[in-house]
Amino acid sequence: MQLHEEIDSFIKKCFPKGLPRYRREDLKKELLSHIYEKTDFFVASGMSEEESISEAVKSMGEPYAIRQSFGKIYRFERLPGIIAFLLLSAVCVFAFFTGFILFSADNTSDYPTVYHYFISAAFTGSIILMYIYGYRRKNAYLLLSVTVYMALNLITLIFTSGIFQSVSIGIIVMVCALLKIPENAPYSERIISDAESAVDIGGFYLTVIIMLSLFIWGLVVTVRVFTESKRKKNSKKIRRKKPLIMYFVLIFSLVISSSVLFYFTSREYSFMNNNMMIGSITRIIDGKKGRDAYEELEGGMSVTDTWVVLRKYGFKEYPKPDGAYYLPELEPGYSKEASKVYVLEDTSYAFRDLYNDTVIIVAFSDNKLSFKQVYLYNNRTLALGIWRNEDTAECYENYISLKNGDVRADVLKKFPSRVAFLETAYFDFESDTEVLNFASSYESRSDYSINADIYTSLCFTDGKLMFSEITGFGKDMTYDYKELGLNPEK
Amino acid sequence: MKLKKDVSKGSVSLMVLSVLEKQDLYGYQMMSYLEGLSSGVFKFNEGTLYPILHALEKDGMVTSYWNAIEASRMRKYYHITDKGIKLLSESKKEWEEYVGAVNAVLMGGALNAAT
Repeated sequence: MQLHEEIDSFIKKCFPKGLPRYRREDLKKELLSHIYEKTDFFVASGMSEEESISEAVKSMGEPYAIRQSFGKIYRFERLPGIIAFLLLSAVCVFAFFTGFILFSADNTSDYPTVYHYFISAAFTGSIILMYIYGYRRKNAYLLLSVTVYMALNLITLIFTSGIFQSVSIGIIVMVCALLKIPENAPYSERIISDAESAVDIGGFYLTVIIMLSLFIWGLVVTVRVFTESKRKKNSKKIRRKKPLIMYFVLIFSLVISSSVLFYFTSREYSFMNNNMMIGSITRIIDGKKGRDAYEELEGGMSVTDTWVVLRKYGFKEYPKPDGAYYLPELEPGYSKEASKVYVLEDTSYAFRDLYNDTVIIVAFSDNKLSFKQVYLYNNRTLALGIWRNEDTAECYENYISLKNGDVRADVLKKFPSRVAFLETAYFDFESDTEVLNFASSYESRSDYSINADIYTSLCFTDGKLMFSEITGFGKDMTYDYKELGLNPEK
Repeated sequence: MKLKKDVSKGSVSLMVLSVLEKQDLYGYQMMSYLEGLSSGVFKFNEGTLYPILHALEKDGMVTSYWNAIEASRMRKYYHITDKGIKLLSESKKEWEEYVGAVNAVLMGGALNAAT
């Protein structure tokens, strides 16, 4: 039943915020009953209906005083709603600053953890609840803020998500693939076939669908509430509780801060990333450490000295879920009998988390530091470690046999985390110069083509640093394998 | 006349319990009773009665129930509980003592002035 506007307005003002629905309905019924009886009284005394309603509402007194009194009586009933709102806000802020939005970058790769799913689900749930809360409260400006926030995240995902590790073409390539645009065909085939991607395509699609759905739903709800409130507005000005400017400041701050941080980190260590723009905050914070370490590392440093420098800047062990990895306490004189296999850490992990991270790689050639890049994991750990496994000999054999054919797939099957490979897009090994910064390698390469990928792999085993360069993909993949001849220090 | 707030505060709950002691009433009816019984002395904003009723219900002094009077109209009736009756009885005694003491002071002052 449509209430008279004056009565409806009065009733709503009598309710304290956060009151449960059943309580609101009960109060509303009771107050309405009184107002109607009073109205009937005034009508019976000869007033018009409009005047009677007006007088009846006036006789109820000041609604804010009533609200205050009800607020004191039902303060504990309001508490769950307030707590829920605070928790939702805390989750949103946390997700905001860590970049874990929805099923974000970490779930679009092969190796999401329970933690990522939990955060993603919590954040998704928070956004949904905020939309429901905003719709029920008819708070158009809250809805608008959340919708704009979602739009920013969606834009970030569309333009910055990596489809295949460091290749950051994202959804644009996917669209090209779906539309079968010829120049992207080979790349597209790979993406659609999902045969070789390190990214969970299903997870990526799911991310896009969920985010898009949330955004569209939020947009519809926002528009609806805005138009409803315009329709109900009468000639009397409705006093707005919160200034409109507050919401615009919020949105503006989000946009500016995200853009600035994204731009800044993009210049220095620009991986396009799956995360929301503000996720680049984590890169800024740790980028400085990475850069400082980078400055201190010098060509020609031994493995041990390199590690000392890196530890100094807070790099820690890369923890494999089952604890198998640990940092090398590199000592001279390791032997074949010890079967130590030193591998540069699985770059699938690194790449996946590189969407947040700065990158420096450390590698050695002829006992010299030949380039400086280290993969970080979660902005804290060094993606350089020892992989100790009973099958080290087997790994060695398998790696050696790479020379003879495509056994990469075999190695991957045996060692699912693909620890044997460090993959980077490009570096100039021959000239023994520093490896280009990963981002600049994409920006500066004139021959870069999405049809070609070059992967370089390093495996340090049995006192030898092995290097292989894999070009192409799928059927066209070729391997070039070299032994770099690094000898252990004595 | 409207009594000053500081005097009527607290006594409204007492008066509400008092009228409910005689019979179950709903809010609008209660307001009319209070005005009528006090010959118009007690006249306050009608909406403020409901927080008082709800507070009494929360404290267990009254209970409530809905009654349909027409197809689309409902009334919420209030009924005093045993706890409410007990509180009313104690409060009445306190009020009588209080009023007696005030009267004694006022009347006594007038007598002294007369002498």
